[in-house]
Amino acid sequence: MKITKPFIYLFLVTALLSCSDDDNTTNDNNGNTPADFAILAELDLSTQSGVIATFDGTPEGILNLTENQTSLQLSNARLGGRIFDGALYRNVNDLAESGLQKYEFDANGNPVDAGFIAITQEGQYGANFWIVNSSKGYYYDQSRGFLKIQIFNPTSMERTGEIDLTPDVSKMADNPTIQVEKSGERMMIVRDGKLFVDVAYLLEDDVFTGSVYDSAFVAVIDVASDSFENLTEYQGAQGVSFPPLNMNNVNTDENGDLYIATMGDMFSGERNAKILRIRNGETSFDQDFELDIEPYIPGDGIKWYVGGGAIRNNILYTYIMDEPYAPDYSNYTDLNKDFYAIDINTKVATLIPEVPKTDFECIATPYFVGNTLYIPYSSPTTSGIYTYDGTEATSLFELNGGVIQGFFGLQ
Amino acid sequence: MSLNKLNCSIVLLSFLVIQIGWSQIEGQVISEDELPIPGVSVFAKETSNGTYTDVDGKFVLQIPDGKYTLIISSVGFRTQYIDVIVTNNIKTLSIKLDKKVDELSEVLVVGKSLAQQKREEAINIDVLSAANIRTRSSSPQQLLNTTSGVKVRQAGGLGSDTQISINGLQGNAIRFFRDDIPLDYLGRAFDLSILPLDNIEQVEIYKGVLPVALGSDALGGGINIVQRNTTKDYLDVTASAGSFNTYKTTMNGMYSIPNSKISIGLTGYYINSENNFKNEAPIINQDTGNRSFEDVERFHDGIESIFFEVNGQIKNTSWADMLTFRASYFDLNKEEQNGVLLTNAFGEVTSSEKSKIVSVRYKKGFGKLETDVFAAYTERNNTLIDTTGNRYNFRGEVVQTNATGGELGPFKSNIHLDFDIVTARLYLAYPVSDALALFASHNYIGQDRIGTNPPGQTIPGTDIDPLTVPASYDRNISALGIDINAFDTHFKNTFSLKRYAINTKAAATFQGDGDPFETSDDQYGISNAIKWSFSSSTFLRSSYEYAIRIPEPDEFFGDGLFIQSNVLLEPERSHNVNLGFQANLDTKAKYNLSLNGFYRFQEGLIFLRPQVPFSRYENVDDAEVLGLETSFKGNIPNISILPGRLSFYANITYQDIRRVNTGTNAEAALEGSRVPNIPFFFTSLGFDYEQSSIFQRKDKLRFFSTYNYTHQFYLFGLPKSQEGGLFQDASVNSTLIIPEQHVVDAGISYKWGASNFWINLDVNNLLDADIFDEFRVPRPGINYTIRLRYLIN
Repeated sequence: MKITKPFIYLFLVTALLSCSDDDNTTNDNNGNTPADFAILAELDLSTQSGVIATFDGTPEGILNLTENQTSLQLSNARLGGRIFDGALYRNVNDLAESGLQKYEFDANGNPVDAGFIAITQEGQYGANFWIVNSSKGYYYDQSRGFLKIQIFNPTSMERTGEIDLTPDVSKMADNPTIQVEKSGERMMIVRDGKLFVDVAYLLEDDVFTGSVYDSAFVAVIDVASDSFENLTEYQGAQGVSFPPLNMNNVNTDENGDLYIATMGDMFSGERNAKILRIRNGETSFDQDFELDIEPYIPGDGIKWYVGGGAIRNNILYTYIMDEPYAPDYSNYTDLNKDFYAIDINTKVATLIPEVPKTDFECIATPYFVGNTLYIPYSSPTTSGIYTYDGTEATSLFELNGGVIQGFFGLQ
Repeated sequence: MSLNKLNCSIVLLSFLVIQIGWSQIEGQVISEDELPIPGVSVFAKETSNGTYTDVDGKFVLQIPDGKYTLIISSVGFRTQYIDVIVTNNIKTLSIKLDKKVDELSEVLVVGKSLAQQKREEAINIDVLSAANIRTRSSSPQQLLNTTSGVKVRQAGGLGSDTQISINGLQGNAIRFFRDDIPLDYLGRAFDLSILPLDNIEQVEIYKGVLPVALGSDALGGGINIVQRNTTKDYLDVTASAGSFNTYKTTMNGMYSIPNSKISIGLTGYYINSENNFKNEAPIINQDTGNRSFEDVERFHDGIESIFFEVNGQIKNTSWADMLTFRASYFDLNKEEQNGVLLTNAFGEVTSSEKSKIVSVRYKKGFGKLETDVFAAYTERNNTLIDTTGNRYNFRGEVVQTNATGGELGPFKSNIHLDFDIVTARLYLAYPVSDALALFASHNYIGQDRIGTNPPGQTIPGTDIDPLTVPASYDRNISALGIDINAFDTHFKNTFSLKRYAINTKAAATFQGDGDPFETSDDQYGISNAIKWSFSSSTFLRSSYEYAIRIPEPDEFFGDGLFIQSNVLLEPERSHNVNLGFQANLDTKAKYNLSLNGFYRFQEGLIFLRPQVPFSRYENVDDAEVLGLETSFKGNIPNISILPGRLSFYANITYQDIRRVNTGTNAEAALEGSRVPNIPFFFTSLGFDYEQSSIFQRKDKLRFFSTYNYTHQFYLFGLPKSQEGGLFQDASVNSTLIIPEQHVVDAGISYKWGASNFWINLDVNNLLDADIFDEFRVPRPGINYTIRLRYLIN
């Protein structure tokens, strides 16, 4: 028996493997991308990994993302993103590390890394943020201070400063039951030259429970001077907003009025899940307005509310559970959420049966772009986007595999 | 400890007083010129009992009372047949073998080591001898990585998490044993990431079917660590020092009390390492928030561990073939430098494990019935301390103080867990005849847990710390087996039937009052293996097993916080098929080739399904594994250009592990995709060369080198259409791919003359390559270990 032959075969195989090519992706972006739209889709529910895929023209019909040639694999595709000036900003990077990640789109339409601002403390929901203009944005990094709002430059993707709200909003000195005070983790939006951020006074560092007060608090900051203006309180509601960006917990209507969803306390009997309002030009809650979500959920039990609604012409569009949550929340992702249009004046809710039920694997909620209402949904058999014009619901596209978590216009 | 466990222990210990029926045959085999002959096979024709002579030609054989024909055979000698009658006594023989002069030019190996016999079972077992590499400072991972179908990955340095896959299955699908007993009772003391090889005789890798002796709920195989077991007194001491301030000391020995049947032994190790190797880590600019990557020393990754075990053994008495008592102490303290990713540096997180273990093992033959009883009690304490408000960067600098949560997550932790663990096992073997043998086993593991975590979260809606609610986990696994030999030992069939029973109780009420949930389950598994031998070392074998993996308590009950309970969770199930061929390629058995194909169909795999805000373990996908592994080994006593002994191996493994029946549309894009984060193509090559009497008489010089190649694999699920071919990169825009890796290790050992003093130098990662067993968490670059060993026989 000669022993040389097996060795030769083995080394040949190994040599072949060692010589495989490395495909380098170009990072050149000439600003002339053919990417008109981007879809953020979760492909694996266990790891939450997925892709951001771009399209030349409006994606329609049944889409197979595995055939898309201009996509980027993501470790976390569940949390959403925001578009500003043709770039996509997310609160986690490819690897789901917390921070501000900016993606631009190259000449082929591929998403490419265009900057990352890291935060030290890993968070479950990444870094909340809002972009004001090409040179200024705000974000939350609790490792730099719970009551500090960070300022960054979206073009250079560098932190540039911070606003310390501690002297203006801290109540810890007056109320020793407060263990944690946070501002900006859940809500951050600029309207009319003012930055609105949530303020939470907590028994422990938990987004779901433990509010010291049965009140919702929002701090208002002047964008031009980065100075504190007001701390407004609404009693009888708590748990302002929920961190994931695609839940759209905070919306503005055509008048610039701000509608803020509170999800209530997850574990107490009084959950107080409500939608509140700050009118355009105001820096305080409208104390005469609240939309209580609980009456729309039939039956007795836990009537918690996550996910906001889009609003136009006094009509709030939102998904609402068709049953209360089970005591162990085991029906959390059942196909049990119906799409409603609620008149915020009469409080009358109208079921829109043409829009499919959703199961909350897709955590994205309805939102307006211009006057078009986009409605993301998912079920065990399908997921996609519907549009609704007030009278007719139409399927824009459906994913042949994957759960929609974001749909963005890039131009 | 519950009353049931106590009763169980009493019943098992009661076997100790049962009497008798075996004898002992001992003696020496010498040649015509009065020299002892080592390695001679001494077998009783009528039974499967047998042994081999040691270096002095001596042997000891335990055998039931009766009349036997002993077959004494060895390479190059004429086989002898000796009739003996034994009746509850010790018989001493002196045997002289004649040389077979006319056959010396073409020697046929008749005797086979116990390791070789294992390798040639009907079920697929690979046996790695640790004895041959005890002169090195190799780790169990390095040893296992020389095996086809097996891949060991480690997330960092010494003591970091280790992941072992066998034929594509990993994690809880693989079970571990020490001398056939499930390792649960030893905890991390026998963790392969720290365990030295010095007290290991061999490592048995079961690729698929587990025999009745290893009754456990392994879904995809197991690893059995067989400890040194010698009849001769010895003391083996080693000391090593290596890169990254790594120091290891081991001591193993045995002493037989003269004129008695009692021996005492000890085994122990002490390990201390700072693990302060350099790695490329992100540093955040505190002004801009931007990251840069620097080569920095790991500053909080140290480990200190001590294990000490004493044993007393009584052998060959009228009432026990072997009775062994062991008492062990284990203490491990570990610093934690980072989480799953190298994203944030932890500067103060520590974990620890302390165990006190007592065990007893009793072996006795009653006529043909061979009995093996084991019982152990373990008191274990685990801690995880994460209470600091400081935050660090990878330079070791504090960048924040007074943070509210812990370094590991949004809540501080000061976890103390106390475990009481009872392990018991009964194994019976009954060779009815040469053609038929019956086996039975029962394994019991009972675990009670209670603990505290004062700064942690309470059960929602209550002020109850979930760890303060007692939790228990009882597992009973019974097995029956039949071995059939036929057609003049050409044919062997091994059949087994297993019953898996579980009873679990734990705090799991979400928004509950802390009352424990309880659940129980009963499952059955079956296996059959067939082997057809064409000659003594050339055979074809095939096996099928329907295996069960019972969910762990945490999978059933969650954490009482944000991992919900799921009492409807089903066990994982797997259909395992193996088909293998093994042959010696020449009559002198220098070259050996094995080829094994394997197929697995796993149903109801359990994954943690994260939601917003909850998670829950669910039976999710199925997976299909189709793989091929081949290995070629050579062992050449001397070759023309070199006077020493050369041994070498080469193996290749390809395993196509695919997700199937993904179910909903949500994961339809991943139908048929590779199960992520498992290497699917890897090879290993290596050689070992030994030569004697180079610089002085009876000295020894050994060189070895190994090379491991791992093809790129995917951290997350990638649609099948975006995979590259076998020799191509994936056709996807992704930074989430673990690149191909080449690892070369080498070493040299030298023994001084006729002494038993060895000195050894190992160089790991000789190419100083970037090695990432886990994504972006590097293993050490080139590193050195020098080791001294002194053996007194």
